[in-house]
Amino acid sequence: MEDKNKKISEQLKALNEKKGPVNKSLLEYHRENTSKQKKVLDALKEGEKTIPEIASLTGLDAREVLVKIAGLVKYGKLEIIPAKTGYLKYKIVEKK
Amino acid sequence: MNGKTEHNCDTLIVGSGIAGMQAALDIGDAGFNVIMVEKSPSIGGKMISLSKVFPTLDCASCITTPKMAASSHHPRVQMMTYTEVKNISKKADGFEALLIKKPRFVIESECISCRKCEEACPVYLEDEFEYGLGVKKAISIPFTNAIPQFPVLDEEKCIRCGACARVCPKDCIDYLQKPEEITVKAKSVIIATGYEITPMDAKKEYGENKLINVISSLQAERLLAPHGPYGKVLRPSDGKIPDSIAYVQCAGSRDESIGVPYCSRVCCMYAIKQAMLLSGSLPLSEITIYYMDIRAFGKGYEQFYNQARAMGINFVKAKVAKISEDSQHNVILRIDRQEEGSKPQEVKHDLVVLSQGLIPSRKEFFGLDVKLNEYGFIDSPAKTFSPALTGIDGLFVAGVASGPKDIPDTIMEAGSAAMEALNYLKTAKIS
Ligand SMILES: Cc1cc2nc3c(=O)[nH]c(=O)nc-3n(C[C@H](O)[C@H](O)[C@H](O)COP(=O)(O)OP(=O)(O)OC[C@H]3O[C@@H](n4cnc5c(N)ncnc54)[C@H](O)[C@@H]3O)c2cc1C
Ligand code: SF4
Ligand code: SF4
Repeated sequence: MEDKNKKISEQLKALNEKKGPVNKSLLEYHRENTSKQKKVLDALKEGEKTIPEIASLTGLDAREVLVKIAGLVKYGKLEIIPAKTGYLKYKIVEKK
Repeated sequence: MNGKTEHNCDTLIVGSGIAGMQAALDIGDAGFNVIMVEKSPSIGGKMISLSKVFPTLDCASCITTPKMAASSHHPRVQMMTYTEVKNISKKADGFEALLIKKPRFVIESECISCRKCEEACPVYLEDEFEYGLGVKKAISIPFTNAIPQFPVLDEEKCIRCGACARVCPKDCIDYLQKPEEITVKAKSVIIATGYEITPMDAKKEYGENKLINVISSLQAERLLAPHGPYGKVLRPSDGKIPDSIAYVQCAGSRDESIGVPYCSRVCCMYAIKQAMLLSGSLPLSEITIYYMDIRAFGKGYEQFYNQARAMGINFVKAKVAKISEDSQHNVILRIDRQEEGSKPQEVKHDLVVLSQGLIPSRKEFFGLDVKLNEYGFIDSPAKTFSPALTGIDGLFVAGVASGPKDIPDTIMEAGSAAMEALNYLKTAKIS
């Protein structure tokens, strides 16, 4: 395990030397993205909600909420509650 | 650049859409060796991203996946993915191609496709397989049934946190991997580089790609696909299930002003198909197709069109002069009905799909002196009898690279390109 971690740090160090440090705007974008994702998850802690409900609770734009939701559903953190018209609801996947 | 490698084959196929795969299988089955090169991380081309296909409404992925598996497992077909053909030159004894294999930053021979790296990666990005609608990670396997199932690390978006490498059970993340130069010597070549759709901003009057609820026809395919980006057809501005959806026909074809004066042959049919699928998945929604004339030219296509009419899809003969939006991002179409005495009218829809045309995927073909028609598609000197010929001995063309066509015609032409290549391999004096 120690060997593995050492090899990874060496590779990342060599990469940083070759390409320079990670772009600041990329890190900023990632931080913002993570914080918005957390806001969406926090909004859903109190129970299932639609996108407009999450948007008004978090202050995020509805289109951004949809993108965050798409990622959270794809990677197994949220599930969809079906609907025929209007808006779908989303809820946090219970950990088994 | 990493070391150079050299390969030999009977036929080099550029592109692994349905045209490339079909030609590869036919030539491989006849006992000749094929190298099939694909610039994307997976084979399958556009067809693997479609929802269902007209006019049978077969699931596109269910019929493409077996072809992908067959060509990837074929003993005489070698596939090279995430590899781009840069240049092809004609030599006395065949062709020589220069290829660049892009780094995935994953040691392919070790990877067991467990997806642990993808799960661990904290960086979420727009997913190009979903044409920008869905989300992927900075390291991800391109899509569920991609072949091969290797992840690709996006070096421009990676924040170098090391998480993927730490969880990889096979230690196969290689952050320092370099591109590889490959030379292929081939006796014959088939170009199957396919198409792109006319850009969303081609027509200024249609919102210049700034209207969030005006989407492309390929995005609509993904919304309708079983494993689409949102799990249901939702409009991008707020995730609403759209109550009213419109199609704008000839949104990137039959228009001199954008340099695409020809009919793209498939847009009427794919719009009708998508409308039928929408009326199945959103039975309470109203679906309208604004068209000038419907071109249902193939076998069973007229019946398909009539079936759509019978299902209650509105066909409105009107020219869409302008597309804009209101403050809620509802889409406003300014239409001129093709009826005597009718005045321009504004209509609102929740979601609008542009039925874009097909244009060549490349402006030039690898430095080869191949003749193109006035629209940039490869021109055959014998269109009527031998559409796969290019005018260069040993060089053939298949699929949309030679002009817009549907899947059945693409498959037939790929078979024809394979036959021409086999004939050439058997009769030409090449060592
Ligand atoms: C929205 C939409 C819906 C459609 N629905 C239907 C339908 O229902 N039924 C139907 O019959 N038809 C349909 N079509 C048409 C259908 O998509 C085409 O007929 C078919 O996919 C053409 O296949 P192809 O192999 O020629 O091209 P493509 O699928 O475009 O494949 C070309 C491949 O070449 C690769 N390539 C390009 N350049 C290089 C390079 N330099 N090096 C290596 N690789 C390269 C590309 O990455 C791609 O994988 C639809 C089209 C659209 C736009
Ligand atoms: S974790 Fe390693 S073995 Fe698993 S898919 Fe990623 S690169 Fe391959
Ligand atoms: S090193 Fe890059 S690709 Fe790997 S987990 Fe971190 S951000 Fe994702």
